[in-house]
Amino acid sequence: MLKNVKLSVRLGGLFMIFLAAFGVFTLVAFRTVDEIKINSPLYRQIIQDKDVVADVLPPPEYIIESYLVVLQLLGDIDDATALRLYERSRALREEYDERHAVWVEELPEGPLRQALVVDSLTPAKSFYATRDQEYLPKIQQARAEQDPVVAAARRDEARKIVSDKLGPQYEQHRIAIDETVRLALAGSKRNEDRAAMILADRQRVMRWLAIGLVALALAIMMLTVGITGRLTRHLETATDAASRVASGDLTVSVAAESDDEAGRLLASIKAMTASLNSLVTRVKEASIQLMSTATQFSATSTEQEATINGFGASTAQIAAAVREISATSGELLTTMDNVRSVATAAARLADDGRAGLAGMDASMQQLDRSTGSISSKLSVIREKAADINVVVTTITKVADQTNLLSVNAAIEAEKAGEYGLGFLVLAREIRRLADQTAVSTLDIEQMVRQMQSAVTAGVMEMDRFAEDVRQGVTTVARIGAQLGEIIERVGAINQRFETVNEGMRAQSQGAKQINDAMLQLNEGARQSVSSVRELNSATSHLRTAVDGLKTEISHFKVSA
Amino acid sequence: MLVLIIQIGPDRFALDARVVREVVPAVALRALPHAPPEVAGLATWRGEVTPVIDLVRLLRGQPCPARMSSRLVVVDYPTPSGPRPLGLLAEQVTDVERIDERAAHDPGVTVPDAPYLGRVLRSPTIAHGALIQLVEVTALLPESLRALLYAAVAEAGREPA
Repeated sequence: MLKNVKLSVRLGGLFMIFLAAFGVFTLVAFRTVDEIKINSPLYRQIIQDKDVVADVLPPPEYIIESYLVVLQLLGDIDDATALRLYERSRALREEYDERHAVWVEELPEGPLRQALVVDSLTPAKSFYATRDQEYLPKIQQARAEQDPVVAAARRDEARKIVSDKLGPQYEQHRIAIDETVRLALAGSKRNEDRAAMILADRQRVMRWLAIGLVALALAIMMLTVGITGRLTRHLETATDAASRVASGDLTVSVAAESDDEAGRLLASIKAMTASLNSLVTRVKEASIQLMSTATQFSATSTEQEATINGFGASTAQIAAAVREISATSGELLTTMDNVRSVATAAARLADDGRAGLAGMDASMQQLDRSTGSISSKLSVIREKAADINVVVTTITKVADQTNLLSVNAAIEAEKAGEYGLGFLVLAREIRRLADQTAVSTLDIEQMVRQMQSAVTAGVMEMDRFAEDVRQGVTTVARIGAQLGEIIERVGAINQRFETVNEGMRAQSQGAKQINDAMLQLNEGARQSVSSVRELNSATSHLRTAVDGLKTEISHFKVSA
Repeated sequence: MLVLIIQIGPDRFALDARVVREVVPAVALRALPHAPPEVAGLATWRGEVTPVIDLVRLLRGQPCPARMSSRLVVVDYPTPSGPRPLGLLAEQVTDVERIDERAAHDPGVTVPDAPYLGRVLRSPTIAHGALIQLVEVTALLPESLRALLYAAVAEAGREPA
């Protein structure tokens, strides 16, 4: 029935049952102790101490001491003792009141309360009233009186008060107290009897409980033995299987029949055996493969060593080449700097040239304007020359007419014979004048013509010059634009130089880094060679180890 | 003797002032169609229709250049019906000169086609002594041309009437 319940659950269940039983037992024992604990040794000690005090001191609730003090005051005493007794009387009364108040609070209703709180209080109160109002004044008067006779009389009066009033009151009080004591003792006896009865009852219960506990312990022991037996059987099976596995027999088969810890242990051992079986099979195969791999590995590492040696030589060559590149790029950088400074100077010169051209352009335009003005003035001159020509033509015509007149006049004068002689002279003079005029006009005409041709040539020259100037202005503008382009291009070249410079620097730096890297690589190659050598020796070790492994593995018997 | 100096090409000629009626500017001429090339055309002088001979063409075979100094010299031409005006177109008609008739010589050469070229003489006023040849107006026109011209003039003169 409990076959498939886990061992821990079974043991836990037993422990819980035992704990419950022990708890019941403890509860019973504690209740007993709680109910009868007043009879414990410590309690008895405390009660004993209180009894001692109660036996030694006069009880405050019992006014016996007050009565004694009253009797003492009647005796022959000195003043100091009297004062002490007065004080004592007052204190006793206060103490009585205090304790009585306590008992009024504490006591339950019943005959005991009636006896102590009510029956003993009335005589006590009367006693204290008589003492303080009648007796003590008399005593004081007697002690204060100088006359011994009067003092003796007062003393007698006081003594009479004691015998008549205080004495009977005390007696009454004492009867009440006796009754109280009797009642209290009777209650105490009753309680002790009850305690003894409870104790006997609980002792019986506890005895039965102890018997039960012993029976429970026996049952648990039997169960445990049973469980341990099963467990031991399973463990023996497991141990047997494990020792067979340890000795290398992997053909063992284990039957796992239960689902508890032991069953699972057996199942695990079964699985483990199966795993080991396949593992050892695989290890055998793997060790064969490993052997061939180690052989290949050894060959490969030998080749690799040779390769790495070659690689070291190559890296050394590369490092040398990179150093040369670095040096070359450094020179190139210097050259680029020179070129850049030259280009900057060229740009500055071009800038100056452009500024000069701008000035020249302005001059050219001024010149153009001036030639235009000169041209227009020459045109004016040509027009004026044409005017002069008109005038000259007119003068020529007049001279011509004059000549004609003079010729005709001379002919007419000839025909007139002797009479015409004077007129003939006059006609000749006129003709000469006309001739001179004609010659002058010819000169003027000649001069005007020359002037005209000169002016025309000048105008043409001016036009050509103006054209040249215009072309010059255009050329200057073009040159200015070209210079601007040159400046721009030089600026662009500058920027590119910057870029190239940056690149050169980066290249130089990169070459240095490559150099460093090559050195490191070389070092690495050297280290690799030594590593490969170490690897070689490790491979031979590995082969030895694989041989050992094969030997070890051959100990295992493997099921197919 | 007073002569009117005319220039034809490089040569100087002279006309006797006594036959010259007047020197006038060369005006526009009315052309005569189919006339010989020497005939420059017809002009009107003082109300009379006057035939005009191009002296330059006659002497040098070239038309007279239209210059300011080219003028029309009106001379008296003897015809059977009395003297008639004849216009002569010549260059540089600008001067008259008094010459000594005794200093004139025969040229010694007679050209049959140019009977009008007369004596030659040295110019008194021109230092280098270029020779001046007198032109005889009476022998200027051949017979055929004279008849043609004055018939034409008669016709032209009749027309407006």
